[in-house]
Amino acid sequence: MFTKLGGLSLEPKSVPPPKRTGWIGRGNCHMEKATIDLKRDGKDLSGRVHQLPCCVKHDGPASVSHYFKPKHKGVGEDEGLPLQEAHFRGRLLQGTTLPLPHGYSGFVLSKSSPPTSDENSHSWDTKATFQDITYWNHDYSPSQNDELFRAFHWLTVAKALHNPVTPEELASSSVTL
Amino acid sequence: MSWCDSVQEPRILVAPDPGTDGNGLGQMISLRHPKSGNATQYLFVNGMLQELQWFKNLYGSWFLGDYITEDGRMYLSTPIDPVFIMLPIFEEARMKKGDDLGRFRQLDEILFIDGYPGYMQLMSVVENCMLVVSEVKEIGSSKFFRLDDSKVLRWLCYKVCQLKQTLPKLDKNYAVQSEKDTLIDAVSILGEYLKEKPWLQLLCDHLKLNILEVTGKAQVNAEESNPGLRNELQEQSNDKKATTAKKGRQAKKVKLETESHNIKDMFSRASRKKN
Repeated sequence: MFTKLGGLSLEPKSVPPPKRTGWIGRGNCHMEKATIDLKRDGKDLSGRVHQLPCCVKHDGPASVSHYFKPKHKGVGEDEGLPLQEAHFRGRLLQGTTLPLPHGYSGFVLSKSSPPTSDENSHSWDTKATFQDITYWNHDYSPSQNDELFRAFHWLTVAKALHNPVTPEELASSSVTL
Repeated sequence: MSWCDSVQEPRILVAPDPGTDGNGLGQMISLRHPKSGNATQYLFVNGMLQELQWFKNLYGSWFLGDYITEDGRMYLSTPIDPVFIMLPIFEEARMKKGDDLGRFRQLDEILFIDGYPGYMQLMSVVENCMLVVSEVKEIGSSKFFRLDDSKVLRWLCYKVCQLKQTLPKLDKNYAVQSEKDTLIDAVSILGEYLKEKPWLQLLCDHLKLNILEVTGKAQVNAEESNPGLRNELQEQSNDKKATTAKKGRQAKKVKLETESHNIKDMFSRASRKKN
């Protein structure tokens, strides 16, 4: 299964300290001097966006839906998450689908050739959109303590932190700490 | 023609829905990070400034319909209150010395920063948002701004309040924290956008917190099971290695070995078999 996809590499791009399985960065997103066109008219991939717990050494089209067939397995006992199972290279994966928070959408962006002579200038176009992400664990059931869940916490925190405040709101608020 | 036929270097981005009223065309602009002062990319779309962060599991790739992308990174774009970005700029602009309150300056003067033309693009946004932390004098049709310490402090306290109400709703770990721990968490998240002097120190003094409790929280949390968001918000360092996000999963019960294998061993074996 998936033998044409190339080998699976588990070398991370940079080596983090032990006992950590994910990391987050800010700002340096390799999109310098870019325009980004966020459109909603691309192909809708909702229900078909999967984050795998391994590195597949391939970029490009593949018969994913022909081989990768997730099955619903009811609801988790502990946290009530809707669970799914799938197999990849004979390994059992356990996953759950996270709907994107209200007001957010997912975009698959593709780099366009720069129309100008400036090599550092790029534009990114929306090729597809999605409203949920299914992420997969290999040796444990999905949980609300998983990294992707926790990454989405940031969307909630950002709303609280970055909601603009007017002078009137500030004056009328009783800030009690 | 399939949607993925012409895809080049795909990126997965989760961002605020552009809606029907905006055109969704965003511009990446380079601004100084308010804490470190380093050049940082922000997205300016539909008159809204957004900060970009990325999340990556140690091992990960994407299936996108019938398309595979090796890079398992996910970008998050979230609105940022421009006041955070502008605080250090307005702080420098008033040229405060000692007890002197500093100078009133016009916006175009304040926002002219050599090597950072992006600030000028924010002119209309800044004019409205900075009223909340500035004194403003109008002379004829011109407006002159000067940062006001007491207004900044009140604004920061308001932000702490908002975070304090939000954090306990995130998950069970936050819900069971003491009020003081939640306060420290809130201030340390805020501290990701503030220089220690003057603002973070001023805020900590006002809240009667030791600044070391706030700035040292990230290191302490690395040893604890109670997860916090600070590590997830660290700015990428200059060598482009990102700081790690806390794992946050509860310690698992020790299981007896029953021919189980680490995913790394299994997948690397699968790779070797193929070769």
